[in-house]
Amino acid sequence: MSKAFFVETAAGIFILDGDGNLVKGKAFKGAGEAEEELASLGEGKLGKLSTLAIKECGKFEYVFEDPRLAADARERLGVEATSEAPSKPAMKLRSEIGRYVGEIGLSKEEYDEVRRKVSINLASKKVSEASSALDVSIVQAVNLLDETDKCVNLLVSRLREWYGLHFPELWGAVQRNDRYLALVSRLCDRSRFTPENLKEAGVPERQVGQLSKLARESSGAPLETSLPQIKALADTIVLLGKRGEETAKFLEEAMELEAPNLKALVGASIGARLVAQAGGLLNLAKMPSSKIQVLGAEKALFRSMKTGSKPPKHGTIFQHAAVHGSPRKLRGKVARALAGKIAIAARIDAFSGEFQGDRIGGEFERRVEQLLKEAGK
Amino acid sequence: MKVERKFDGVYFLADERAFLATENLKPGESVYGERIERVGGKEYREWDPHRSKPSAAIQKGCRAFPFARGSKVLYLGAGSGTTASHISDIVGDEGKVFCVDVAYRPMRDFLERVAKKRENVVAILSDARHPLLYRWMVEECDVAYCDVAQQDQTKIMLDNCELYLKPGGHAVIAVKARSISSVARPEETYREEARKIRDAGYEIVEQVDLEPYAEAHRMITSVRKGRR
Ligand SMILES: C[S@@+](CC[C@H](N)C(=O)[O-])C[C@H]1O[C@@H](n2cnc3c(N)ncnc32)[C@H](O)[C@@H]1O
Repeated sequence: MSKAFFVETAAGIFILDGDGNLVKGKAFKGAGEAEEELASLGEGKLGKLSTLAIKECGKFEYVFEDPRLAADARERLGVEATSEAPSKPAMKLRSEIGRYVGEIGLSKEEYDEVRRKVSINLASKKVSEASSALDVSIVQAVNLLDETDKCVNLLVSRLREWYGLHFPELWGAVQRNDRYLALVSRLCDRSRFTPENLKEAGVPERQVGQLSKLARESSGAPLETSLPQIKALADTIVLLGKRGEETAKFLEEAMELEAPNLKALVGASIGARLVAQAGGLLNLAKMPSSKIQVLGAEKALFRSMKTGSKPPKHGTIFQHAAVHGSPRKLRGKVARALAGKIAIAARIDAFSGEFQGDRIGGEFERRVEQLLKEAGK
Repeated sequence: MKVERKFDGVYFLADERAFLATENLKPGESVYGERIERVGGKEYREWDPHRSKPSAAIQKGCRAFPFARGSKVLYLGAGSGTTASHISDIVGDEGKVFCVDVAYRPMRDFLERVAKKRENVVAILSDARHPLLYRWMVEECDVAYCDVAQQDQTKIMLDNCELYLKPGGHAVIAVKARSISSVARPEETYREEARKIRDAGYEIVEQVDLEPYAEAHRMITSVRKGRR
């Protein structure tokens, strides 16, 4: 069966033969129809006009650039369909677009005008759909992340206590929670802490001997009937930890979209926390930097107002390496400088969105260097 | 005020200080608050090398500058359009700038300040990692310019070029060393990215460091080999 290449433009659908000759061209009736069809094609579904064009053309092997459309054509229209990107005829069309739109009755200028209108409408629609939906999710996700951490820690304590009845020596030998968890979830019964199993579980060479010896000579109780329960608990915690990682990844992406300047300056996690503590990006953008500096230290601030003790110098931003990494005497100044830059970054993110994160970050770094130099003198 | 032509649509203007500017395609309108100068019946918009990497490249004396009157340009990572508006000036009425950005907030400003005002601009709110998803908006281009500041920025550019850059067309990338690796020396990162570009069948025609205008950035300009 001969091939027919399916190529989309902002003005209509083209079906071309292998040499790029027109088999069929179907123009959208207006911008509205174009937007609807293109939105559908963007989601991998053939819309009305595409379907009609294929039906009118009849028996061909249709070649799409998007494999999802090929699958859709096979499933819903029952035609033969494959995919290839970029396809030669599509490349040809994109290089001589003026000639092709002429075949469906448009001049190049008319086409440019249609495309421009459609592009603005499609982008505007996406902008209004996306607006502000993300920053509420950032607040939820950052809180979820904290709660997940707390949960994991709480459950790990329970696990260490319970599993400690069976193999108490492992508690002290493996301090890191993630390693401890992995071992309990993988091996569980201490009789399985053999050198081979340990190696397979990724335990560093030098610890393999130590752990297998501890297991052999353990003073813990056998606890056979409870071990499946303990293992299930460990598995659950591992899963919860993975979920936490997914949440962190979501936060990264959401912050990149929502607050790229803030993210560039302080990272996704601190940035998201500030957004959450301020009650949204817009609120953060409206805050004076003196308040940003103590966000997350509200308790200490109230205490100082009540008791007249020293006010806190920094809240959440203390987590930033430049603040907690500075000599104690300088921390207040570094925190103040950072809070000032955060205020600028948040305003740009909330009001204009232009990316200046590198410049702002660079200015902050130079300010810190300057503070360090002055203190050194 | 003295006016000296640098490239198509790009001029050095000089009074007490010298600065770069592009000839305004929309006289009377400043896009993002940049200074406007009228000299000899023409209007120019200041092009700040601190805010715009191609301008920085010119300040640093680049010789390869593929953006020209009539060019079709695919611009990846257009942001709110600061640089894109100058490219729109340069390519003029006969050219086109296809502007892709994934973030909606800058796109909102881009639409208001640039796309709705300039007929030679096409706005695309889409992820440049999936170039097929805007195939109906883009034509074959003479130049691809990539400024997405992502770890996989070079791959993003090359994937787009495969679909949309004509053979013999120019691929220009503003490599941001720090978004690729925070530990490697920028020199190593640049070398590695240049290698990727060569391996994909491009000839590198120029490399320009953008310091001090953009920290740890290098502009790599290359030409896609081959014929249709
Ligand atoms: C350094 S800024 C660009 C500034 C702009 N070129 C200028 O000079 O005016 C990087 C831009 O790339 C965009 N970006 C990042 N990842 C992207 C992707 N996968 N697809 C499209 N745009 C992306 C960001 O949203 C941001 O606006």
